[in-house]
Amino acid sequence: MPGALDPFVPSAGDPWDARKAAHLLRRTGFGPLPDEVDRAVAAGPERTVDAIFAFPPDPVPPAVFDDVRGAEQQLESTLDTLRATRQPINLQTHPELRGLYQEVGRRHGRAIVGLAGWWLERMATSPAPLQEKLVLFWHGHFTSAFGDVHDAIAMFNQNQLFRRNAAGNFARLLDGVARDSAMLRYLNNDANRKGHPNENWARELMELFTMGIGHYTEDDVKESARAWTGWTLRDYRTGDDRRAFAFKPMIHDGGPKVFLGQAGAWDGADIMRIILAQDATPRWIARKMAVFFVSPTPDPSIVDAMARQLRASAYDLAPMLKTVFRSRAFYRPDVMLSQVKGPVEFSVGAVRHLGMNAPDWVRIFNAAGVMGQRLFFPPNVAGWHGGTAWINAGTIFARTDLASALVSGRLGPVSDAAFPTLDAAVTRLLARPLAPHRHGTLALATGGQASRTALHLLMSMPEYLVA
Amino acid sequence: MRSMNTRREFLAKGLTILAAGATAPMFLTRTALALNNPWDLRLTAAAAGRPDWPTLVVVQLGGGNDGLNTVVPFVRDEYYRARPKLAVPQQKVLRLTDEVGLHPALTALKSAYDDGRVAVVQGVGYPNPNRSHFRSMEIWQTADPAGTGPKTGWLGRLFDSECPDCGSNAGMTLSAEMPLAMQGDAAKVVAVDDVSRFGFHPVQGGGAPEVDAFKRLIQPVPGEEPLVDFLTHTEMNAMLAAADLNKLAGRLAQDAGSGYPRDPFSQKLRVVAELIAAGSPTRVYYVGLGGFDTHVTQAGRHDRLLESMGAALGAFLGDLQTKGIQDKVLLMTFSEFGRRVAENASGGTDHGTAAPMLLVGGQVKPGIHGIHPSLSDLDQGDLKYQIDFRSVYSTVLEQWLGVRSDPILGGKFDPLDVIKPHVAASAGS
Repeated sequence: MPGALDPFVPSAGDPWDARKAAHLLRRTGFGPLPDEVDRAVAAGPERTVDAIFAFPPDPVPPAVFDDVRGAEQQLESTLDTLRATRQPINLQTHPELRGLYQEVGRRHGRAIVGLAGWWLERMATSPAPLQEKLVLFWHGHFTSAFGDVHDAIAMFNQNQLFRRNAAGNFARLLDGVARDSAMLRYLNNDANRKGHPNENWARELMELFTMGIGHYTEDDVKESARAWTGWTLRDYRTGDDRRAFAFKPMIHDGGPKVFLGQAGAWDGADIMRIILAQDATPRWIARKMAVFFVSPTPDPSIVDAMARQLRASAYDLAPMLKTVFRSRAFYRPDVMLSQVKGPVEFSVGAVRHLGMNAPDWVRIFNAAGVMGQRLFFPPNVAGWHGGTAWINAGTIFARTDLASALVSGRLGPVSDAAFPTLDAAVTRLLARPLAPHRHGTLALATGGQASRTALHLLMSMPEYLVA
Repeated sequence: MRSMNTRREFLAKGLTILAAGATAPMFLTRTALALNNPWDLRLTAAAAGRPDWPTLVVVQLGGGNDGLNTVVPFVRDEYYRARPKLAVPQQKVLRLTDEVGLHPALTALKSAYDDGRVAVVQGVGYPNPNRSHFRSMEIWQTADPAGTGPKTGWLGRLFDSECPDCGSNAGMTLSAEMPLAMQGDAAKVVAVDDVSRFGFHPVQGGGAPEVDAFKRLIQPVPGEEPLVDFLTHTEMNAMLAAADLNKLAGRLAQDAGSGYPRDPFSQKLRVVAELIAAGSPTRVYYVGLGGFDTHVTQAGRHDRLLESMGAALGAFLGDLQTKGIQDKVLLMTFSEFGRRVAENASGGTDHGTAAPMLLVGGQVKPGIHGIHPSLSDLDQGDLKYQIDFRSVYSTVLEQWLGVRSDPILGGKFDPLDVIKPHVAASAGS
């Protein structure tokens, strides 16, 4: 009996060609270029899939954080001096602190923009774009928003956690997230104390991060919130303390709980263990990854097969993803071009297609925000909806506006050499021919030249918005 | 997204837009004659651009607004016992009646209440309340607590069922993201984040020929892949909406001492007032204010949120009055849930259930409607709702917009008595 994820085997009638290679590289990256597609065609699906999972070592943190640390240290040394006096310290008694606090806040605000630019640059230039695509996926899954966390370094640490575990083990990633300072602050588990539970993290962990609604009760939320007490930040005194995890037995509720039908004196690690043992969890993760990487309406048999493999591999993600990217189902006509490019994917891809080096990433970050995806500022804990929800009259024009700014060279020089003719531009941007009537209209309007107008029109057309 | 009307309208309007370029294919002229858009006709009839139909402004308070600290039951001991830190002190409450009053940050709303332009509907919720933000927001936006109906919004269904021929911007949301509430089967709503930039701008040197080429490139063609077809229609719809908005843009006054605060929420309401005054065909506007998920240190944050909301609503009402259109506009607030009666240990409140809704405008029956839910007879620490939110929706649909509510809400919900009767009678179209 054929399986839902049986491998794609090239044949004379159904060869491994540029369309399929471009599809794989689009879904696992950001705007593939013709030479990359050519290499993938030559290498074949097996080797290409192996190659895209070769992730580089950890990147060096961006320089933007030196500024933040400087302001934090100045504030902290001032506070240390004041503490030595053993007098009460607050903004009424010491109004001069206000300026120091504000400076720390300002520098974090500048740093998060710098960090977003750094990440966009990495998406555009990394030798392993799939790793960054997965970081983007996890950012939309295990959401934390700078607007609530107020700490660019904590957001970077979370970003690195996603990068290190991008296609690693989901259980290990989840454990890291439960101890991540940005998450502890974003979902308030740093305020979850024995006798005074705060349910925010406990609820979203089940509803959005692992099982999905319908697989637990309100009582499970309340009981697990108790189990999560004491999973908190080391301290609030310094920036580094606020960015470090600590388990504090003094504020942990060690009493008995009943969670998903199991009784015990559970703590957070037990809650994760019990959640990971539920059938709903691999299914939830498999489905979310299928929606992101395969199709907005994935075939249930594909989701089932993915979930089975995830469970069999004890939550190792790479084997499941490799099976998907090698499967016949991944190259079905109704799967190819079934996705709407997200704003970040659209923007980074456009930069790559135009052959731009070091463009104004901050302006591009803001433009993607207007399109509905502001990195480090997800709209709420459910992340970005994705799919056709990206598209409405307003966000369409945000896309055509960014395309205009890019092709006009306003955000950095465009490599004109990449576009000798309109046909070359079509191949580079779409990796497939346009329907004859569209091509005719475009050629008529542009005289067959790869003019700025032609590039802008191409990037504004529905065909460029799909992946 | 697949509406023939939309396509027909595009072709018709595309004709006038294309006229300057003199490139309109001949077949367009016949389709143009087929155009029949009653709302457009009404717009034409309302000579100086003054709309003669009621407009609805929906304000979504995202995150779960704390109803108990918005409309405060200041005579109830249970309230003060449950909230030793967060309760609004009795002497600070802005009293509306002998039993309830507004949070002290809502001074602008209190003035509007005193002027008879605010109706408070108490204890609004639904059976078997869901405490998930997303599910509960979905319930409010689809008006479908059971989750068995179509995944469309109640306002989207309003446009689908009551205005088959209405234009591409019958509804407008002032944000980048289109809320589910506005989504229907046909593309009759637009999301506009920045009105002044809304449109397709050609590159330098591209000019009108580039715009014309773009319009031709997004003409739907039979047999296209479904997603490309959807995008084609959406882009077409966007061009139509832009054409409409651009017509009004000249009349969109600059913000010259209009009295609105500078925050984005206030500025969006300012744009709404300008669009209504300019005769926009948009019938429903949707504006969001977020940040109400106050699990931690609620005191300062919630004060500021309420102050923003109150000041914006006050400026909006003042502006409508200045423009002489206060009787044409009804504003309704809602949130996905209220918050738990008892405060938590983090100086905040967790997800709750029923909460008050505000109906604001020149034609509301001012005052407190319904009774405050009991503070002692609770459901898992939360208030039991008194009024189903779909009754508020049916009031708005039937008595304000003058349409039948049961096809939209999937059942009959008795309207409340919160709209002045002569309006209710004349609103029918």
